[in-house]
Amino acid sequence: MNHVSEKLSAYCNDELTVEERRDVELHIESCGRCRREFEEIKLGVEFAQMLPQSDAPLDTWQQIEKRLGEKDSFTPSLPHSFFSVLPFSPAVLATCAVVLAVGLGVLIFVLRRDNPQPEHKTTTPSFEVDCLAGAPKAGQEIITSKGRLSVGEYLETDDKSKAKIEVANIGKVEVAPNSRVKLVGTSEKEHRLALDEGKLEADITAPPRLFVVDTPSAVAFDLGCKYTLEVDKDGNSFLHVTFGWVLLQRDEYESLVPAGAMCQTRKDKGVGTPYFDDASDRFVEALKKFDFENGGTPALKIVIKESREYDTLTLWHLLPRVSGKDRELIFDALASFMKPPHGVTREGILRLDPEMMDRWRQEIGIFWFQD
Amino acid sequence: MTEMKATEDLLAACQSGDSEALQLLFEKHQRRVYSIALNFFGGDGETAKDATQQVFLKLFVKIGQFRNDSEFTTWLYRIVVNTCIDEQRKQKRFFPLAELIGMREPRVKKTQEEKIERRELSDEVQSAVADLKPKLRLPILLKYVEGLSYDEIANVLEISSGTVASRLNRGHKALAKKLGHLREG
Repeated sequence: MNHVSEKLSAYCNDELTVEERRDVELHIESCGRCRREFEEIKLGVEFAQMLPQSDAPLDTWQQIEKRLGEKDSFTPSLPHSFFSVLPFSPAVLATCAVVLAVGLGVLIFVLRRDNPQPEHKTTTPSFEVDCLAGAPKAGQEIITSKGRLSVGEYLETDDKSKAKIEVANIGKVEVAPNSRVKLVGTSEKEHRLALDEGKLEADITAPPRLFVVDTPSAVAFDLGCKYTLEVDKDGNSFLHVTFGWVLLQRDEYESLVPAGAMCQTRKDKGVGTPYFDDASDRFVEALKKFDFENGGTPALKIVIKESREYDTLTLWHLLPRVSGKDRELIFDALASFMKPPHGVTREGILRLDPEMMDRWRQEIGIFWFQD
Repeated sequence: MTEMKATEDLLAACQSGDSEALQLLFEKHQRRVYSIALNFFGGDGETAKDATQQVFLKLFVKIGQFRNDSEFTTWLYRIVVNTCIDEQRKQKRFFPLAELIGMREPRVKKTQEEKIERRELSDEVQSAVADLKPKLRLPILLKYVEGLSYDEIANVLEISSGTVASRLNRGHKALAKKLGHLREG
């Protein structure tokens, strides 16, 4: 008998088709188990319907307005006429701005003619850099307070210095000591850094793939997140995501790394398999052996044995990286945590059928959200 | 149709930088944003207010990206969801320090006796929902605080409708288990 448990909430919320509703009603009449479950879910729906709505406290807008007006809270993309509270019309303001710009332009021209200065920082796209400690260097400039990092330039920190890069209007990157980061490019479609060595921590609010970091062993695509990325002197990297998702990619391999998970890459081997940061030491060690030291089936068996439901993230990524008997082992392990949904077959998954993979991933991915 | 046009006009005004329009946008959406946040945080008004401010600040930075009302609404909900999750992580990270320096009252779970003394059943429900894992809590809030359909919830959370149904199933059962004693004889 096919039970209707999965459809009971949708039935209560009138989300089923007429035919589906009829099927559920007929089934409930004759199935005690589903009828009991229906009563339970119906009770849950009744409680959920009691959740209150409330207006925000009266001073909320004033506090937002205050923060909008603070210089450091906002980016150049802030609507310019937010300052229309000033007692001049936009036309007057615009005229004044033009006059001022022309005047300043003349002054700058005169000053430069008499005191030549490097021009690239005013014409080449660049990001603002704040010194957080010591004396970081952006291009040829040592930064003691604020500076700029232009496209093509490196930001370098020694063992005593740290810096923060403002990435356009989408977030910030903190650069740790002993690091070397290049601004590869910046445009409306993509903002790209390259981490040659050292460590950075990114905090980005942006559409997926707008922010990218190259490393010697893989490329990290931001999918709206916070993460730490470290590259050692051999070009191997270590990613730890604390919020959102990051996609690590190299050649045909991708690792989708969610919050609470990590992923290693090796310059000579490529992208490793992601794993949650609270996986057992034995699990992590076996995975490292499998990914980078030809650990093979023995390492895989340890990974499977040590897996919890959250580690289906790792098992899922291993599916396309193994074949034959090893893939069957992975499939059986995944199915022990969550059976494939209706229409997804063992045979289909073993041949990596894209549609079946996607349908099962939607279900099994439920374990990958952090509590 | 008239309302849709009015919304598009308001978005256009916000995109051109009209500060009054920004405030109107806030007035239009503050209740839904605050309600989701308040229920997410189990009635903690201070955290909900912080989260609400964060949502609108992020919104105003990105307002130029939207072309129509449906895109905007989906995106608004996504910002609310992500901001609530982010705020909760910060609380988990900084909770001990906040307690030490007295910045915020610690969220202490009430005893069963204290819960029974509460007058409003909705408070009980709010507390029970806040105890759910975020992956179960969020579909409940989007469905019952905002009245979104399963497809709309799926779009906001970027999951399938099937997954929405599955999570709501689990959420409803969890609520029934936690609160069922309030309905017994």
